[in-house]
Amino acid sequence: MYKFFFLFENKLRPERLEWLSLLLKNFNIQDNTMKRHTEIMIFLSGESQYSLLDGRTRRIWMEILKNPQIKLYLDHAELKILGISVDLLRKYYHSKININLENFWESLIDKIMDDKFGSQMGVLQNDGPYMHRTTVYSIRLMQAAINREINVDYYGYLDGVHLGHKGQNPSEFENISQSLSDIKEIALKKDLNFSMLSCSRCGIARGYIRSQPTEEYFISDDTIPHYYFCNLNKIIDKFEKHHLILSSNSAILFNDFQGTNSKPGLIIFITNSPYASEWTFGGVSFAVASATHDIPTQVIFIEDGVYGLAGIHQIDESNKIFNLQDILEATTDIENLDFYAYKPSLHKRNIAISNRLKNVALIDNEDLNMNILKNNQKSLYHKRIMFF
Amino acid sequence: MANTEIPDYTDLTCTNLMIKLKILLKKLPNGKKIGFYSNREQYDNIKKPFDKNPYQFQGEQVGDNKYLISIHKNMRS
Repeated sequence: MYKFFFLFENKLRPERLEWLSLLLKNFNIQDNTMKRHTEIMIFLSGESQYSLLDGRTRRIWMEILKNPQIKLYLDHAELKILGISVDLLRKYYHSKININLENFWESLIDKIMDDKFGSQMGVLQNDGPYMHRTTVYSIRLMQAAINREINVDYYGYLDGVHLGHKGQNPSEFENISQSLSDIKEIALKKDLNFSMLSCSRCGIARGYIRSQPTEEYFISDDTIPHYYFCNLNKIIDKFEKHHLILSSNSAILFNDFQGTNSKPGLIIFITNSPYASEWTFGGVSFAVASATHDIPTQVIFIEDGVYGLAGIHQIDESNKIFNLQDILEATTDIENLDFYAYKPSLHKRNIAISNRLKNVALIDNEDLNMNILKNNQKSLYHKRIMFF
Repeated sequence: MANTEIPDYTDLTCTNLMIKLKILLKKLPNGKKIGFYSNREQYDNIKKPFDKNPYQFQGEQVGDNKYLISIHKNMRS
């Protein structure tokens, strides 16, 4: 049996739900053709739940949820905070939604954890604390995992490295570094492993590391105990293994091959414009590192991510940024790394892909479905999908 | 080439260095080479991908954690 799991924590815009709806429809068609059954679980927390009420997205959810294979799980604690009425949701969606009144994160783990993953999971965090509530959700997820006797790895990337900054003292919000320390303490008491690894490039950029590291894993003067920085490659080493790894907006595709010898594939959706934030460079950089570890890696430019492919970017040394198009052109020969652009996102924005980007393949809905399903290695058990 | 002209990339992460080298080598004419300083971890990381056709890789340890690297792009690539 195929299983497809999604977790969304940020706002779901109509565009994402539109392509997701088509993707899931294609799954359904394939299931019918191949006499296969796919169980699709969509977990929504935080602001992604607004999309169930929003007039621009409600009709798309109605369409998605016509498929009986799809089960939608909502975070009751967050619905209460957002003031979203459960009664209203039940009126719109009837029995199509599952609202767990207990712990959303523990029920997520119960649904998704599998013997194949062993008793290990990882959480990749890209947002920083206080500005982004996804940090609270990652804390909840890791707390839930430890409660369920699962060893946890925390991977801090981009602004995610800030979670371990010491001396945090928010007047109104949950103290995130204290929560990390509390998880560590509980894990130690339970004889479980809770390791915290953050990307040294991101740490150096943000001032955590001010001298050339001499060891592979090192602690900054500015972080809480047990919070280590390391080269991104050390974090990617973990992605070569078979445990479950989630991030704030991510998905896992499980298939019915039983072997677990191959490295799980990675699909990175680039959904942000190229230079206004670190999302695009962070995502592409992560993909390059992943591919050089022989992890089959596909990068899909979609939604606002396609802006990075249009025009000719004229960037010189004084701009102090990597030219995304130079990166895409120059990494053509890296094995296990493929770039794609989602045509409907280009059309929506009235832009075309630059002629120089010969190694970026244009894909439509059907191709997207094929790419996600494509199994490079027959013994692959699951594929990770992450949104940048 | 005088030592002062050789760029020092020891502060770059392995992935960033890999990306930077890919870009520099793509723009480099055939038959030319680039030289730079790396640290040990970078040296270990780039040795394999840049020691195959169309490149020739040479690395010489010049300090405790410093290597002088030269990558030559073959005439026919």
